[in-house]
Amino acid sequence: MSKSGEHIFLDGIEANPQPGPYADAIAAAKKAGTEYWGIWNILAFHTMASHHLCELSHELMFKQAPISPALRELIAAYTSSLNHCDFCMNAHAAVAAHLYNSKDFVWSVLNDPEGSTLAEQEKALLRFVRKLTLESGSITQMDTDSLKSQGWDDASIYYAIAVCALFNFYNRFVSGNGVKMVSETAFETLGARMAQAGYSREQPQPDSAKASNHA
Amino acid sequence: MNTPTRQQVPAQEVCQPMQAANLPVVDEDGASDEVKNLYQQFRKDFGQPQVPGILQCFATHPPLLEHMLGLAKFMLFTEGALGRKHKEMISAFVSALNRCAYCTDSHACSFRIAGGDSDTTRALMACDLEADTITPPERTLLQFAKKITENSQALRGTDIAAMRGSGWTDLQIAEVIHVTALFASFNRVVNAFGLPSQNLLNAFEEQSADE
Repeated sequence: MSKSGEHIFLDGIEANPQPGPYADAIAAAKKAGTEYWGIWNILAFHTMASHHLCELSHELMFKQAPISPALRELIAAYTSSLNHCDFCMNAHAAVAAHLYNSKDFVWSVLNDPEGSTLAEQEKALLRFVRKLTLESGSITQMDTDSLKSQGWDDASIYYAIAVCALFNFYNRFVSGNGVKMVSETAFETLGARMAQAGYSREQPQPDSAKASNHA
Repeated sequence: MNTPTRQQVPAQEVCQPMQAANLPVVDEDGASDEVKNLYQQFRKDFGQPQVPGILQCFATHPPLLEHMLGLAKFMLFTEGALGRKHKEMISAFVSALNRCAYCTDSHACSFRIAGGDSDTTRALMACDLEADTITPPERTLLQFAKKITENSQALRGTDIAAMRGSGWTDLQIAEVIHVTALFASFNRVVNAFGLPSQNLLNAFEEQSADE
């Protein structure tokens, strides 16, 4: 009963991808003999939930916003480091490294945000992200006021909250399913793709979402 | 999120303006046409007149509202491999673990509406898994949800084996992980905004006692 799949814990899920963009992406990677991210296996288990999840991620992480894509990816990687999700941390550190054009800078922040060369205003945002990840029940108006006194407006704070909350989802989704690490090269290749193309794997036509639910 | 069915929503909960302690939310009067349309879509899909506070948080960024509603509709507020009652059991329990008063209250109420009993509801809200009314497979399920919530990096194949050993299928386990992880996200959004409990559960229990 304890058998596990190649990429994730649940071999019953891995063996039955639902028709859709992630089943296609897995099939294409297998055909080409290339490494792929095991998160695709869990995105292929429920077509409609994954559609909304990926479109949401694309909007939040990739589209125009009051905080830069690089900083959003840094928040994603930092949240993942706090949750000890090595897969998400490495994946989004790779995306952030591509956007900042410096792997060293990104890892210096992840290893020691306070001692890094990150701007003080951005350090304040990461402190908030840390509290939101580790003890969200203790957040008060003092925390949001403190961000405002650092010059962050409501719209920027909303983004920091949404990105941090999204990765608190992803970290558990990934760790709970036992998504396995890939090679450093694969993280870099797939991270660069994500930095350039974003999170959506669907054609830009919202009605394509009317496909069937899982069996 | 909170979506008791219309006839079970206590009258005083309808159309009260929502106040969050830490940050402004988007009430209907101040909403853009895009957000107004999404609020209407919510009423149509969920049959509930009041737009819950958590949606007014998500509405600060309309695409977030649209896709969070989609995720909730297809993963949470639907019968899957896992039934509605067990989805709400997980939702209320995880929200209590994450100290989110708003979500704990609304999903405790939804658990009751989905057929959960009041003793189990109290146990979930107190994070007490030893209550007699919680069955052994449910206890295993909730322990699994607790580990995902508090220590997800320590999950191993043995945790999956324990779930399978209690009779849960792979599809059900995948849904448990998904719902538990969704609440890691929802609870943090609500706690960041500082939404207070709506006391839906008390209103539900009072209404039940009257009938």
